[in-house]
Order: sequence, then C-alpha cells, then structure tokens
Amino acid sequence: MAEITFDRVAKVFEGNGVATRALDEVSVKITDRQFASVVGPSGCGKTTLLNLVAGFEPPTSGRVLVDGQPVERPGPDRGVVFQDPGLFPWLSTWDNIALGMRIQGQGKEAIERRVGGLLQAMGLLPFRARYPFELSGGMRQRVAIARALALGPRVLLMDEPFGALDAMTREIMQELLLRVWEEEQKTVLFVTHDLEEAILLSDVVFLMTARPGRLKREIPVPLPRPRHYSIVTSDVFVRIKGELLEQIREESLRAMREQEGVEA
Amino acid sequence: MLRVFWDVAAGQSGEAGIYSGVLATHAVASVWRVCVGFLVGIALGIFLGLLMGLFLWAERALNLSIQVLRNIPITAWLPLAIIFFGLADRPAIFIIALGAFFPSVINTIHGVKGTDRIVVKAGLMMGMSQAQLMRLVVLPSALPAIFTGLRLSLGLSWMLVILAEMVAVRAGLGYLLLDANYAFRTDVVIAMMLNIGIAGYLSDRLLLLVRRSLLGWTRGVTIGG
Repeated sequence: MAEITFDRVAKVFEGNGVATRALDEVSVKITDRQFASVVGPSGCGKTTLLNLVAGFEPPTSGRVLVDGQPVERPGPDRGVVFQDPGLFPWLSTWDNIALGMRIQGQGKEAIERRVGGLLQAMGLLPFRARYPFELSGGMRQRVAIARALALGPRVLLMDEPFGALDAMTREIMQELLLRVWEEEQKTVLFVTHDLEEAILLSDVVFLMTARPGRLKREIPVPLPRPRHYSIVTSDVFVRIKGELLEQIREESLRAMREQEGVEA
Repeated sequence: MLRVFWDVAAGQSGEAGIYSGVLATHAVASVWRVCVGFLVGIALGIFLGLLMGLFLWAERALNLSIQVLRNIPITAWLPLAIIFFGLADRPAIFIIALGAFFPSVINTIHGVKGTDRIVVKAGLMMGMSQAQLMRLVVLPSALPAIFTGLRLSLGLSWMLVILAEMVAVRAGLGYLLLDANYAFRTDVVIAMMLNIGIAGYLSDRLLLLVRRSLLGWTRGVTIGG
C-alpha cells in the first residue's frame, strides 16, 4: 500500500517582501500503484507539489500524507528522480546506486543482488565502474532511476526526468520506464510538461491551473497495459491529447491575460 | 657550479668548503618544519572552513576576524612570533601554520558553498543524517576546491620556512642560504636556491599524487584535471 494524499494544500513562497502563492487549496489523491502525471503551464507549482511529497519543503497550510502519515522530512521511502540527475560525481555507477542501501545498513549480499539486478534491467551493466562524467545524458538518468529504486521506496517521485534529453533518447527512456514500472508496480508521481509523455506513461493525468496552482482537471487514461510506444497513434490517445491540449491552452491564455492585466 | 651543487648535497669533493655535505641535515630540518606547520595550518583551515561554509553562525562569528587577519602580511607576524616563542622551531612552525591556514580556510568555504543543491537533496532522500551528509556529500564535493587551497598553502609554507630560518632559527635550508651569503659563497647560495626549488617542486608533486588518487572523478569535470 502506498497512497499519496494532498489535503487542501497551499504553498506560499516569501522572498524580498513579496509573497508568491505557488499552490492554492490542492486536494488530490493518488491511489496505490497508480502512475499519476501532473501537467500544467510553466510556473504552476508542479515541482512544488513533488517537493512537498519528497519532504524538501513543508506546506504553508494543509497536509501532505503518504499512507495516511504526514510527510515531515525527506526519506528513503520516497525515491526522487531529478531533472538534472544529481548523481554523486565522485562515485561510480555502482556506488551511486548502492549508497542508499549502504546507508540503510543492508547486507553486502542483498546490495550486490539488488544493484546487479537494477543495472541489468537498466542496461547499465557494462558501465558499472564508470563515473557520471563518462556517461551520456540518458545513461545518467537511468542511473538516477536505479538509484531511487534501490532505496526500496513506497513511492517514486519524478521531476521532468526526461526533460533535458533529446527526443530519441526520451522515447527509449519512456519505454524503459514503462517496462520497469510494470515490473516494480510503485506508486508514481510524475511531473512533466510533455503531454504525450504524460498520457503514454500514466493511469491518470492531473492538469493544474496557472499560478496559483490548483487542480483543474483529473483525466483518466484508460489505455491497456503493457503499453507500447505505438499507442500514441490510437484513437483514445489522440482524443485525450486533444482534450488536454485544449485545456492547457485555455489555461495558458488566461494566465497571460491576467499578467497583462496586472502590468497595465 | 653543478659540482658545488653536488658537493653541498653529497659532500665528496669538498668543493663547497665548510658547506660540503651539509644538505641532508638542514633539508630534514626544513622539511620537518614545513610538514608540521603545513599540517597544523590546513587541519585548522579545513575544519573552520567546513564549519563556516555550513553554518551561518560560524561564518558570522569568524568571517570578519579572518578577513582582517588575512590582510596582515604573514611576514609582519615574525617579530611577534619570536617574542612569544623565542628562537627555534616553534616560531617557524607558527608562521608556516598561519600562512597555510588562510588559503585552505578560504578555499574550503568556497568548496562547501559550491556544493550542488540537488546532490544534497539526493543525500537527504537517501535518509542521510547531518553527519553522513557532511562526510558523504559535502566533503567529497568540496574536495577539489580544498586541494586548490592546499597547493597554495604548500607554496606559502616553503616561502615562510625559508624566511623564518633566515631570521629565527640556526638550522635549515634558509639558514644555510643566508649563512653562505655572509661567507661570500655565492655559488653555495645559488646551489641552495636550487635545492629549495626542488624541495618545493617535489612536495607539490606529492600533493598532486594524493589529489589524483582521491579525485580521479574530476578528470572530465575540470580542464586538464
């Protein structure tokens, strides 16, 4: 069981005497083993949402719960994959993935088995002794995913993990993630601005409003699994994408008009 | 000239007169002072640098005094060091430690503050304690900058040991150089300059060797490693 619940969550950032409302009254429930994406116009607080679950920041009001327990601090039960992979540059691929398990005090054999298995699944075995600077962008991101999974987390939080990759690599990574997820069956909160990516991967897509971020729509993705990249041309996929595009366009235009109004 | 240089070191031909074969004892004295002074200085520098880079209260408490003290040339401390410690090893070691302290403290602060926030977040996600975060994330991340400080510190240490030996100690490479100068043995003076250069160079290579074994991962990050 691993549920993520946002209960009337608001987040206000204070800086230089100006208060910015990033999130306003967000109430969302992501059920066990669900793959949930969050999309929305830039600056809508998608990443903030994720940081709250990760425990990097506290909410200004409301509650963020994982399995009914309020999040208080970061911890290995919530694995995070960052856009800039944030690998430890002084550790090899193997050690980057193994470090979390060592900190948890797991036995040598368990670590070898798990890290070896993850390297295999991610196609990283030949690169286990390499340092991050010797890896391509896609490989680094695979190490980052393996590092998060090695912690044995209940939920996986991914913040635009493929945003910095080229289109080809991104497709390969999406398929890899699908495969790994279908095997590991974790609850995933996935932040992206790529609508196709969100639909391809998710069971449900949450659309946020422009700042302050609120939940605008919750769109289920009734596509069968296991999924293959070819579904991007299916009728259901195209219909959902059209709907999302329309909504997000409306939202971006509204945000622009409001900004112009403020400036005028 | 080369024969004099060789005689100062090996003492066979006697061409260096009373300076024939004296190098080893004096070199050992200088190297020992540099080692002790350097290690004391950088230990304090790295420790305070970590503290000041990590904690705002430490930086607030220490930064002003360090910045003011740093701008007093180390050479200006020499009279005071002799008054406090007398003539012998101790004022020399004090001066070297002081000289080694400033580059290491400032570069350590710089290194700690330059730690990538995402890497720290990754450490927190793994459930690291403050101490683990320090040892497993902040310290390795700051290590390249710390080594830059150490190289500067080492260079200063050699400069200061020669100075201190010229003024406050009756042994060591600096003492030998000045003594030969008073004896009008300019050839020995030049031989000693060369020796000091070689000693500084060798110690720097040693430091680089340590750096390479610890910082293999920076090969792709910095130009020329």
